[in-house]
Amino acid sequence: MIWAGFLGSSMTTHKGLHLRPEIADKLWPLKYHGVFNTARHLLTAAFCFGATWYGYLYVFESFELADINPILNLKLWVVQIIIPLTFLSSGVRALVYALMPKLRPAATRGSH
Amino acid sequence: MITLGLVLLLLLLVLFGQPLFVMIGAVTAYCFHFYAAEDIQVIIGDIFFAGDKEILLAIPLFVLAGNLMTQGGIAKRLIRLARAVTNPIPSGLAIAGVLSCAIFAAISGSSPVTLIAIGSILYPAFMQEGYSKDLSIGMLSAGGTLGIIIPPSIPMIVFAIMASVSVTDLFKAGIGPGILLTFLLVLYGIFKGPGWSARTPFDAKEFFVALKEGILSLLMPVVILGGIYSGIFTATESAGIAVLYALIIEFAVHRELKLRQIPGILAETAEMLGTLFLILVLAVGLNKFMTYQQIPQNMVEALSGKISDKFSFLIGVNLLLLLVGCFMDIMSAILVLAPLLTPMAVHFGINPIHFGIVMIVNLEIGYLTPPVGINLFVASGIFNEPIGKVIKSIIPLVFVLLIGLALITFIPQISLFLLN
Repeated sequence: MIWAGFLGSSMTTHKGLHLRPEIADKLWPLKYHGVFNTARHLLTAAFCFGATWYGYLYVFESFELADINPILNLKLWVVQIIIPLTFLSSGVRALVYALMPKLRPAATRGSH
Repeated sequence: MITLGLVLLLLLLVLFGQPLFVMIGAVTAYCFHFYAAEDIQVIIGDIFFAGDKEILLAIPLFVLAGNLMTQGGIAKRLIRLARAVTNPIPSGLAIAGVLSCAIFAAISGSSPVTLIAIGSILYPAFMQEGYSKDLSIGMLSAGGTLGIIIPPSIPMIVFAIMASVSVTDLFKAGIGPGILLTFLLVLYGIFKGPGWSARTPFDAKEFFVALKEGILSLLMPVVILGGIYSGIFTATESAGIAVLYALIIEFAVHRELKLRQIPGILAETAEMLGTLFLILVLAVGLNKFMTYQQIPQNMVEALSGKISDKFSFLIGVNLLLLLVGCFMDIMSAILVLAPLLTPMAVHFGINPIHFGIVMIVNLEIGYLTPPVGINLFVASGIFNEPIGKVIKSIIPLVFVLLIGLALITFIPQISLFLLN
């Protein structure tokens, strides 16, 4: 379930379908939309990279403790690794979208 | 100073249009670090354990079952059957429209999908039989919202997770209000429709043909809910049964689903899960922080001085939720408000299951209220009418739903009769 949820989340980032309040889109004057969209994606990237770091620390701890998932009989870190990987992938995507507006998914492109 | 920082952080996130998962995640991290002096790494642990909850599995499975069932001609089959039954009744088409919406919504679990599937077929028929544009648009748009109150319902599962109540009980509690709201919409259709002039005699042959074609689709909610209500399977197991049932029906019986469609359906399901999953698991972390800090209890104490009785609380909470429904989508509203409002409701002696239903009916009305009511935009698109015209058509139906909301709010037995 965790893998399905995080992989789904990654696909949602790819298509720009994450739920977000769109009120800010209307607050910014049209001529600043380029700056707004770049800053928006940069901020998302910063959050995702932060979450990647803490995710890595968490998974590394599981790895060191060699915890086992009792149901799957798998090393726990194997199940958990999807958490930092998804945040990393979302962070990289957001960074690319910030720097290369043409690659932004249609749903999140706005005017740039 | 710390609180000022939190407000500024929230403002910054809103001002830069951040996705909800970033907003909830950043606020949770800030609260853990500055209020609880906890290591932020703890949140990742909360995400992992929240994502591991069995009931979460019901969400993608119900969505998958709905996606599988709605690929073929189910809408046409349900409408044919509903029309065969309601043709002899005055304004029968309006009744067929609402009933088709209610059943289709129970299967698909999606309000906009219901409106598109049923609305696009029935709207021309409404016009042909002399229904006014306003009534047709209003009835079909309002009928489309029934999906979230008729179980199985994804918002109910989300509420159950956030408020720590039983999904099975919520599903049981949804059936009474679902029937009531359907009945009220049908009643409105009978009074406002063309009445006897649009009546046609009952055709037994057409009825049996329509029943034969539609019975298996119609039975899906019956199998799921029957299994849950009789205690044969849990809500999560019923979601698995729903997928299996949908696969058998669509592959083997109706033969409308092709193997090549499956990857697309799975991807669509994963995307839907993706929009919800991160927000949900992060919100569980924020919920844990609020519980540790006794924020709901503090709010209850603060509110107790101002609101003395259950009646005033229910009125206040309904007004708040109707307002919230105008500006927030249903999932976000449940994630943020359910953990805060449910303890208050319990403090005022309201059954949390009943409160969950009240909350969901309020937010259901939000599908029809500007500026973010999704059914307004869907209706504007499929009926090719300006958004202002759609809003005008929907206003009377919103009042009908408000009457239903008042009854559901102040007569708890409508929701709780199956639980008792």
